[in-house]
Amino acid sequence: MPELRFRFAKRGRAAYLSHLDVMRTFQRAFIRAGIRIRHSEGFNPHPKMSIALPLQLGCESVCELLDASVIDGPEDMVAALNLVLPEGIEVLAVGEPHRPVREIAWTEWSLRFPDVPSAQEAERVFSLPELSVEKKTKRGLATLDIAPHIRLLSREGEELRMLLRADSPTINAGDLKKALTGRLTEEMPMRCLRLRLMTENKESFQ
Amino acid sequence: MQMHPAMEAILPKVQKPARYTGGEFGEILKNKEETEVRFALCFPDTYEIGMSNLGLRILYGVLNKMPGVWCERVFEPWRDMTEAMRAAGVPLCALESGDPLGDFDLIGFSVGYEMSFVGILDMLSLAGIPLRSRDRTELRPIVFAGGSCMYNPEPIADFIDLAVIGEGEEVDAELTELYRKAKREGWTKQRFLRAAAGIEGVYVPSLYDVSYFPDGRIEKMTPRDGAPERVRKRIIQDLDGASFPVHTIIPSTEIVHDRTMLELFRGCIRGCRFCQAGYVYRPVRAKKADTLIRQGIESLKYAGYEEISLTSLSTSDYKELGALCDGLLDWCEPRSVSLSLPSLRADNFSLDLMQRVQKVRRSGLTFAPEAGTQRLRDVINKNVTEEDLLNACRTAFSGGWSSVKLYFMLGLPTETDEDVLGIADLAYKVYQVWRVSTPNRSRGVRITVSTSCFIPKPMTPFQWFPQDSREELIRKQKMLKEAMRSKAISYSWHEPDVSYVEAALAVGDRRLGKVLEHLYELAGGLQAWEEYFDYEAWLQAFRDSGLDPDFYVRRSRSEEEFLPWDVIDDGVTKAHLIREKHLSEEGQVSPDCRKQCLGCGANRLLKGGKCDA
Ligand code: SF4
Repeated sequence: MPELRFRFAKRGRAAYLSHLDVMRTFQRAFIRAGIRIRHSEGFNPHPKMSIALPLQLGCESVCELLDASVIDGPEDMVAALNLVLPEGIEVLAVGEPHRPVREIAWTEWSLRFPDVPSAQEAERVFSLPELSVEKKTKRGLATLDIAPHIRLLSREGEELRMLLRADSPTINAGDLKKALTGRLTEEMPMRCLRLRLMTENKESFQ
Repeated sequence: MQMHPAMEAILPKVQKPARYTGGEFGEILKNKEETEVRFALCFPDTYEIGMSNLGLRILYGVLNKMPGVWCERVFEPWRDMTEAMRAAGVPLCALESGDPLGDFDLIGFSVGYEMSFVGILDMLSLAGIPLRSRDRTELRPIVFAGGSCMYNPEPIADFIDLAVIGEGEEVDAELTELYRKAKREGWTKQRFLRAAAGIEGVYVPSLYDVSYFPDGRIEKMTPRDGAPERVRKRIIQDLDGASFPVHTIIPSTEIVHDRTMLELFRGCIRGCRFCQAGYVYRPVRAKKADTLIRQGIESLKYAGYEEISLTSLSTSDYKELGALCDGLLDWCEPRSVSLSLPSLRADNFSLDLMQRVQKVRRSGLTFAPEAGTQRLRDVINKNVTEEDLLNACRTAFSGGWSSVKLYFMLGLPTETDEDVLGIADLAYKVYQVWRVSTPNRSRGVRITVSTSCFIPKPMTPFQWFPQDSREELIRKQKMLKEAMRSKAISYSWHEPDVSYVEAALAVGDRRLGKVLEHLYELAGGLQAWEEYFDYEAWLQAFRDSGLDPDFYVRRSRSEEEFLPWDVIDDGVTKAHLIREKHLSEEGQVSPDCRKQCLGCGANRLLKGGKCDA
């Protein structure tokens, strides 16, 4: 069987699982579901699988992608996996990947605030012409203006919709939080849900 | 699950938040409305430690099988979480429902390490529950404790309403049923406790009056209101028939023992005189290999783990070990599941077995000679000779192993400098054995020696002995360090400060309640962790409570003295312990239970009264 791409959601309590936790969880769920994954050669063999664009701790998503080198498994892998996954992780679809993960250029997000005024304030901040944040890079801490790499799509009530650059530079929800810190009158919780992955021309990437 | 609303803001900011959310595969959720008794199974240490505890998983399974009972888990949060919760006014909650600990009927702590006593206070305090038993006047909650530390429950007597002595599977269920009745009929807490004291294996500290001699020793402990003179521990008679958690919780986040665990037997046929586990878990009761193979395979299938570990006090003493390993490996090998065998003894080590077992993944070897000379090994009744150890190492090295760990204890009764230096000698001999027996010298060898400090433990023949002074232990550690003769040998040791406090807690009485409460105010929970262990605070807590830790740690107790745990009966008679103590003083060894029954008394716990060692 060729490489397969599993699309899954990570919601609720599962939002607090780290990238490694999710990898470990799938590794075991595959075994429980009777799906065999090819292993790497060598002294310490590990299953060949990877998850695109690791999500930050505390964020939810309905568009996670896991590519795995599957040897064989049951007919309905989605159902088999969903029976054995922990609460909050749900496989939505499986199929052959049509394009490589590196073509993901944008991610679409829903950001929820406790009330409309805070959402309006956040909207104001994200519309500023310049938004520098401290960001960890390979060369240490650097200041980056993220304004050119984010797009505010809409605000409806307490929810903002945004596009974030997925690649060079990768902008994540943590950067948005940092951008808000100090620019808002007070710190406020923001629920982050990743909705969609997109290519450079804003087509859905699956 | 209804998480406290403030948790959303807290969780992203603390280390490893997945420890606090629950929701793992295998977690049991029930309908609150249909639940009559809510049971909080608490572990006074972190999630990673607690979830690695097989006993906890067994109880979780047993209790959740009871209709109308919902058993949930609660662990001690790491300090950053505790602080964040306090700041946000979030009480300690159970992982399954997210409900505050204060909403539960029964709050049961599983305590396997004395240093985690303070964790009980940390958790109660974080839940807003009064710490002392006498300050909790209602039927709800009943706070109790079980686990291996409850062979001397006295140090925490002020905080718990009762203690469960021995194996908890049956007692916890009986206690829960009694509570159900009490709740239905609207009993008072007092009435419930008096009735609970009638269950075999239940100790209710408040039903015992303690009187002291002017010098601080206990004069006697007198039961009231029909409580038994001594509380006898409970054991499971038939382990094959006992409930085993095949379908258990598989954490998504990493824990310490992240693998399937199989318990081969309870008890130990050996009688190492310092070893509490070797005495209090008597008599030996083994599971059949067939049962274990079935449960092991089912557990692995359910869990999706790639490792299974055989746990017991001394794995290589299991009679059917060969058949068991064959049966498991037949299933494991084709699936690349590895089998690990901890706690091997050097005197019955089989290379053949190790090689089969380690085909999938090879781990290091560990032996515990415990003492450096034959004389001292005889004193402690560790029936392993230098030849046994060197032979086992020779076999392993020629079979391709290149690392071995050796565990010893410093400060054992009668120890001399010669015994201490004997450890360095033995390690060097192991090194020499490696040089002549390894097929590949260029790969080098790693010999790791580690020493812990002797701690007198209740219910052992060494319970009467003092611990070496801190200065003496440090001197011995330094001497040993300087005596190590090869770069291939590395030496690490336990801090005597921790062992000193641990000893005081192990053999302490109920006056330590003051110390624990004060220590908690001074230094907080997580005292089992280097990061938070605060020796100075402990000393101060003792001082401020008007107690001298040396009274507990550094004093030889006489055989006639009434000991705080004399109200507890683990099945082994005091006469037997005294006999073993005298033999140790003469440097005489005793045979193991398989060779010859020594009449320790534990057989009386078995229906039929005969041990099958
Ligand atoms: S009664 Fe005999 S065989 Fe049984 S545990 Fe005691 S010494 Fe061992």
